Amino acid sequence: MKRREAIQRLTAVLGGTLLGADSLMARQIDWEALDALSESASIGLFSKRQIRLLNEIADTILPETGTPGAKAAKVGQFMAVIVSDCWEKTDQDVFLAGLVTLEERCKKHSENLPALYAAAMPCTFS
Amino acid sequence: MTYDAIVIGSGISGGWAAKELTEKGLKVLLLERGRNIQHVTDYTTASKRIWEFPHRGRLTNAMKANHPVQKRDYPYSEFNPDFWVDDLECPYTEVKRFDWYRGFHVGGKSLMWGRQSYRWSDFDFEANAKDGYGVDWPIRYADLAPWYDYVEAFAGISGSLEGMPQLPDGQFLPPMEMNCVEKDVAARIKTSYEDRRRMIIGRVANLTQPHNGRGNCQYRNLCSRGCPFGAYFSTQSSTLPAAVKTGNLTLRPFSLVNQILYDKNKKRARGVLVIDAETMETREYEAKVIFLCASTLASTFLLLNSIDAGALPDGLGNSSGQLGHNLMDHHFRCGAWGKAEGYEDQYYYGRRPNGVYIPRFRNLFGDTRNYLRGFGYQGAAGREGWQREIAEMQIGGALKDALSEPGQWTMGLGGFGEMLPYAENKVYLDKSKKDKWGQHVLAIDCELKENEHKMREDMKNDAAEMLEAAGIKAVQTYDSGSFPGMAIHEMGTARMGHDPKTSVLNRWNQMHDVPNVFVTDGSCMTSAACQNPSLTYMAITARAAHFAVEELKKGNL
Repeated sequence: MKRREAIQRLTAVLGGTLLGADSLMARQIDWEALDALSESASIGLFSKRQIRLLNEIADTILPETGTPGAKAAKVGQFMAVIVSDCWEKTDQDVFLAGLVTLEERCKKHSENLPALYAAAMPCTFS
Repeated sequence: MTYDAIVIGSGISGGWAAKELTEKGLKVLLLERGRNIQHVTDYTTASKRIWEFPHRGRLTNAMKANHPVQKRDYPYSEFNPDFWVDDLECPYTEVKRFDWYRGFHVGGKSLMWGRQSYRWSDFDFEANAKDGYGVDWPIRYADLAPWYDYVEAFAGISGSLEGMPQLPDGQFLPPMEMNCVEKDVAARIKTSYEDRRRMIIGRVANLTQPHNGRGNCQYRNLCSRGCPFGAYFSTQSSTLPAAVKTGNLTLRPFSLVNQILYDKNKKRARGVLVIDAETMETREYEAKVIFLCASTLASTFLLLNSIDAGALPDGLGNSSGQLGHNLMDHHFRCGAWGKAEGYEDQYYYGRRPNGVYIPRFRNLFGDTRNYLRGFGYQGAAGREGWQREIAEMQIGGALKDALSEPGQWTMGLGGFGEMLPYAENKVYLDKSKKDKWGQHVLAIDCELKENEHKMREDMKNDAAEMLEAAGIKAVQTYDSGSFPGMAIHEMGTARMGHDPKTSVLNRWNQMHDVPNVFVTDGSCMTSAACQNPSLTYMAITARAAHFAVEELKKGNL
């Protein structure tokens, strides 16, 4: 149980700081549509906007294949519930800060998008 | 109100006492401090899917806040939160860390128990006499064997006949099946150790065929939520319906027994003082005989708290001064695990609510170690699930598809070790605090000592050695630490013994000082063995109940 929890927490933390902006940008997130969503809390500590972002991240890790992907399974909403209801405050803070960092990196990368696509970017990590 | 008998507590022991006494024709009042839970209809989570739990079983911060003790280990979860106590309502004092897991409801821990059911042997009943720890058990295996037969036949225990003297065979339903890896490991252990060590399928109180009107196990492994098929032994599925059927039972939930009332002239208990757990009103009930089955520490608390307005300053039946002493549990959470290569084309049926068992082999049959007594192992082989790749941090469709397949076979063994009875491992009343019902609380002062710590080295290393001998690869040992209470096998504190000067109960679980009070839960245990104790509580309770009825008939109580 402890190991699983540790991995889950690590994943969330890495998801915010290490998960490649490359991978996420390859999804061509519609940031404008995202920005149109409410910033006020919708599920626990998370806004609709953050939940949409979490769904994009989750769907990058577990995309639609022969079966629906993470977004269709509403994994973003699930993460919002788990982090808000079950995590310690310190872990929640790390998670939320990581989400901000990830978004910043993604936007920075978007300036170099043409070059990235030309390189036929693999799904790897920074 | 007057009854023939009062049974305090409705868990494994209390359920058996109620069944046996009512079936012998006694009018019985069964008192339970918590709420009623109706069989099947009140198992509110039993048929829920994992995704129907908002947190998939995890504890929320709100749940942790009022369960500072229950949250310490896995049993308390979102899957059955109503089966565990609100720790804030019933505090206790931890002089040293002691994890006290409790459930206040009809059925007690019989609803959430692990169901592993093993007989003890004379290696266990003679252990104290041989090495001098504790006092001698006043019974031997031969005293209990017919009662093991009796309770097994009713409860329904599945298992294999093995002919091992340290783990006597019983009246078993057909055994559950080992999976392909377990079968190979068992065969290789048997060969490697020339049958001095043997791995068998767990003996478990889950039905492998319909039994006494109860359905057989569906291999869901959701037992601790309550079973809609009645497929494992619990008060609700087994003993309570039998007692109700006699027409002699009155079950009274929300009845917290605060004291056993004492008649100084007759030197008998005359009844009990009950606090209504909801309204706080008190009332008295009288009976000829009392069976105290409130669970190990709750029973001892009740005896310590039964002071008869100061006339019994040390509690009821405590002329020996032993009440509260010699607290034991099992120590566990250490062993080894590794990977089984191959078998990728093989799987297993359902989710077997049972594992494998390796009976004790240390300090037996000529083996001697630098510690006393021994341990057994529980374990299992299985295939890793979808969590296995998280640590690898891959992403994408290939990862997802890979996770849809079963993973690598692994095999693990975890030891359950005997803890010696130490007089200084004890409980006593802490009068500086009160619980929700205005009662003083228990202080618990208990720890593992050198003998247990030495044993844990073997528990790790023997597991690793056996797994390696069985061809398991990448074997690692582990010790996650074990605090008393965690195994939920707490025993002792009102021990049985020959001598009224050094023990609380006689060979019939009858109080030396108060002959019409019988204590038949874990508090009666004189030593802890290394086998799971509940089956022994059943046997000991049935035996004591039959004795009590005979004594009543003879006018001796």
